Parts: sequence; C-alpha cells; structure tokens
Amino acid sequence: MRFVSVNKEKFFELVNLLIKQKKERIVGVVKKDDDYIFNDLENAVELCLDYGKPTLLPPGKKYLLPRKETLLKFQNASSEIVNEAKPITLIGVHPYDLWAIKVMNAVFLSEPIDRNYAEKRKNMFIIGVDYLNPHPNSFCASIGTYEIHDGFDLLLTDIGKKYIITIDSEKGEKFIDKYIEFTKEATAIDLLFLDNAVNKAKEKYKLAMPLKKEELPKFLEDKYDNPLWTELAKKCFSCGKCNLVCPTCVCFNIEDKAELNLQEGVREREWHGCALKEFAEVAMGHNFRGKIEQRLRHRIYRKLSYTVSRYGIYGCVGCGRCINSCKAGIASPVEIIKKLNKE
Amino acid sequence: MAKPKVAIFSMACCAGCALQIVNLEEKILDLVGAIDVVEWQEGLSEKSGGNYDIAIIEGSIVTEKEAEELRKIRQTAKIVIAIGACAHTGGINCLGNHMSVEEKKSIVYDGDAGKIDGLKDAIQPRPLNAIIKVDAVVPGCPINKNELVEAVKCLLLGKKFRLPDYPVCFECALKENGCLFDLDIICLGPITRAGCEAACPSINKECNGCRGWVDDPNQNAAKDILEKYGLSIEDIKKRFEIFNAYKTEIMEKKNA
Repeated sequence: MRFVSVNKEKFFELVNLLIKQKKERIVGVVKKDDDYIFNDLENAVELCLDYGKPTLLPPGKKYLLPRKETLLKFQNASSEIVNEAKPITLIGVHPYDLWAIKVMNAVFLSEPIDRNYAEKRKNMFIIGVDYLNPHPNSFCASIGTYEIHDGFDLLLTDIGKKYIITIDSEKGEKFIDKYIEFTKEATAIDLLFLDNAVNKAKEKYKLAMPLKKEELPKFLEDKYDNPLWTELAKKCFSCGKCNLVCPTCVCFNIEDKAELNLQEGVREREWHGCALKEFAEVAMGHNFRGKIEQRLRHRIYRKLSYTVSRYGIYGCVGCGRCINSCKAGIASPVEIIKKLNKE
Repeated sequence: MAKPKVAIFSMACCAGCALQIVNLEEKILDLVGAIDVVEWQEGLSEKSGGNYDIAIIEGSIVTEKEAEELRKIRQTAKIVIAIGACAHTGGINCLGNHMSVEEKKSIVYDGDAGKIDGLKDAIQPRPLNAIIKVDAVVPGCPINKNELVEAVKCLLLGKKFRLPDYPVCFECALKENGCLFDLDIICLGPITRAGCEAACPSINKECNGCRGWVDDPNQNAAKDILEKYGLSIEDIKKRFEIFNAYKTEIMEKKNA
C-alpha cells in the first residue's frame, strides 16, 4: 500500500483544477442548513471534509443507484436498453459509507450482475476521508466500520495541516502520478500521525452496539416473536425514512411509464423501502408484511442477519442515519438490540 | 381507437385545480391529443350533454342543485375522477361544518340570507364521495398536475391509478430536506399522503395535510410526537381540520 501527503491548500487547488477540467462530475460533501449533503461542486471551498453528522442521503446509494433511473426506452414493439454512467468523482466519503458500498457490491455485482450498477461503479472514482469527528448517533467503532483499508481509490486522513492519502487502486496510483507535483511521499512520522488520528477517533464514539456483531445473527434467532416489535410498531409512522437514509437499503420498484400518446415510454426504477406499507403488496392485493411490526422487524433482521447469511457481510455500518431521521425515535438498531438483550 | 370523451366540471371551489390543467403548458397538447375534451367551463363554450368516458370534477358540493348535477354526471359518465382537496376531502369548504347551515347563513349574511336565491338549497359542504361513487382521486390543493396526467394515462391504458400510500416524509427525505420538526415547526407530513413531491416542506413551509391522510395513519404515533413537542390533540386539531374537517366530522359522528 502506498501513502502520500498533501498540504490542505494544495489539495483544494487540485480539486479546483479537477472542477475546471470539466472531464467528469466532481461531487463532494457540502453544508445544507444544519446538515450535510453530497452535491456537485462549483468550487473546492464548498467542501466540508471534517463533517461529523453523516450526510442526509448516503453517497454510494445516491450516485450508484440513483433514486430514479431509466433502464429501458420503448416505442411500440421495439425497445432500447439505457445504461447511463458518466464519469464521476466523489470526494469525502466516510469509511462507513465505503463499507456500505461493499454491501452494495455484494448485492449488485454478484450473479445476476446489475449492469447499470456495474457500469456506474466502474466509472466512479472515490476519494474517501477518515471519520475523525464521530456524531453522537454513530456507532462505527463497536462494529468495526470506523476504519477501512480497501474499497476506495484514495483515502484522506486529516493530520492537521495536511492530509495523508492512502492509495488503494490502480486508478488511484495513476491519479497521484498524474498530479505528482501536488503531493509528497509520506514519511514514517506521517504514518504514525495517521494511525494516531484514526485510533483517537475510535475512542470518541458515544454509542456502541452492546453485542459483538458476529454474535448478532445467532442472538436474533429466537427474537422473531418478541413482543418488542409490536411495542415499537405503536410508534411507527411507516414513513420509510429509515430505509431511505440507510446506505445499505438498496430495494427498488420498477415501473413502465407510457407517454400520453401510448406509443412510447420508459421503464424506470425508483427507490422503495420495506418499512412502507405497499412494499410487500403483491398481485391481487395480498400483503405479506401488512403489519407495521412485521416491517420494522424485517429491516433489523435484514441488516443484522439476512445479509450475513446471504452475502457474508453485515448490512448495518453504524452510521446512525436511521437514528437521526426517525421522528418517532424507534429506529436505532443499538436500542433495539439493547432492549432485546435485557430480557 | 376512438379518443375518450372527457368532460371537466367545476363545483364549489376556487377553480385552481382546473387552472393547473391549463398550467400543463407543453403537456396540454399531448393531453388534448390523447383525449377529446367535450365539456369544460374554463376552456370550451359548447356543452355536449352527456355520455362521457371520463368526468373530471373539481370542487365540493354545497347545494342540492349541485348534488343533483353530480348524480346526473355519475349516471352518464363511465369514470369519475375527483380532483383537488375540495372534491376529495371536502377541503376548506367544510371548515364550518361544526355549525348548522342556518347558523352559518345568519352569521355571514346577517339576516339577509333569505334574499339570496343561490342560498335557498344550501347544504353542509361535502366531498364528492359523500354523494356518488368516485373511481379515482387526484388529491391536493392545488393538484399536482403531473399526477393528473399519470391518472389519465393509467385510465387510457386500463391500469388502476394508484396514489402513494406513504407519508410526505418519504418524499421530503428524498429531497434531502432537513426535518421541520427540528426547527420547532409542526408539520403534518408524517400522516399526510405523499405525491406532492414535498412541495411545501421543501420551501420550509409546514405541511397542512391538503392531500388527506394516508390510508392507515398511526394516530398513536402522532400523539407521541405531539407530546414530545409539548402540544395537545386540541392544539393540532385545528391544523388537521384545515383540509380534513369533513373526516373529523365523520369520525366524531362514529364515536358519538
């Protein structure tokens, strides 16, 4: 693994250079009111790389599985596959969101491969940033997602006046070589600072999963009929925000939409969520998760058990977005496991 | 395929929803290309007098005469679409329904109500489905014009037109809006049916529930949130009733 360092001013200069080149979309973390979002950058000064509260929507999902995506165009009996994947660079992706992209890869790049996702992933360049100011609702340290060593092209670690850049891909290597005048090879001391910054951040987390994540699938085995689900259901609006904001909730709905001339139209996929009442409704109107308790239980099992048995990877990355967004205050996987563990 | 004959009617309302049809701008040509508008107060002078494939109706019913007209339309139309809050929930016309018609007349017209012909057969304002069977609803004050186009497309294709059955919060989060509750603004988003693309919360204006409730709003959960923000049911009832007074009226009758 190769490490280089870059002065912060130099890094922002480099970002501005990328923006000016207009070769690809340059997207980064910016402030929106009291929150952060990933958005197209016009100038590097907009970047907020020391953000603590996770962005409202997760970057992986926002750009790899757009919330509305055309898959097919049709006209009378003929159709044409649509697979738009313009080059894009993401700047400022936290480790938990990089872990989430690994979950998405497991889902979409295993057979049968989702061609639209694969194309977008191929054309995405990811510059991550270590999460050094964890938000009170994040619990990454307890489930090991506070750091990451692969799954990105470049990863920045803020050590004061400069960033240490970890390089993890050929694309990353080429990028650093192309802009070699901006960076220096990292020194042994730089690497000590890097380790120190990440380890210090690990101690800052206020929230922790009470059980080791490896224990969770087994732990949940006999909790399926626990009364807690019904109790939580009394407070749930079924608004689906816990799904929307979750970086590993990747379910979608597909619909054919005709134009008014009824000759042509498009096939679109749109984000959906298992917390929504209509999610599990099938033909003839039967809903196999018609009750709120069934739906919110499903979300927790999907995160902490089902993805483990199917893909060998945890569906919860500890970002805490569900906790931040739930008005009813019932979405926290930590609180749910705590309550189930008390009995 | 012959183009379906469509008639557009206005009952008691501001006519803002029919205006949204005019606001379709470039899409209106596609719409007119797909359907044959045979009757429309806002857009046509002649009347065809019946046998419509689709009747699109805005406004609530406030007189016996209107009720009769509505029943006639129902008899002659294959499909009836209610558009806008007034036709769908009764809308703001139902705000005064806690008073009798006589009481309202005397307050508003100060004893002169008897002199006004149009008031003679006034009734308590009602949404369309209180009087006739409605086949599809395009809710909102005003309607989301894109949703109306979707509804027409579905009917042309013989598909069932479905409204989202989840709250505005979903669409609001999609737009990456922060939550108004966090700014101490009480918003009816959590129980109001989505489909408006969170138009109001997206400009920091609280949701007033113009699209009516989701099918099965969690009232328990609503109470919990109100308590959390130090509000009582009475505080919020007035807000609920801006667009949903008729629903409260029905619910109170059921509970009485």
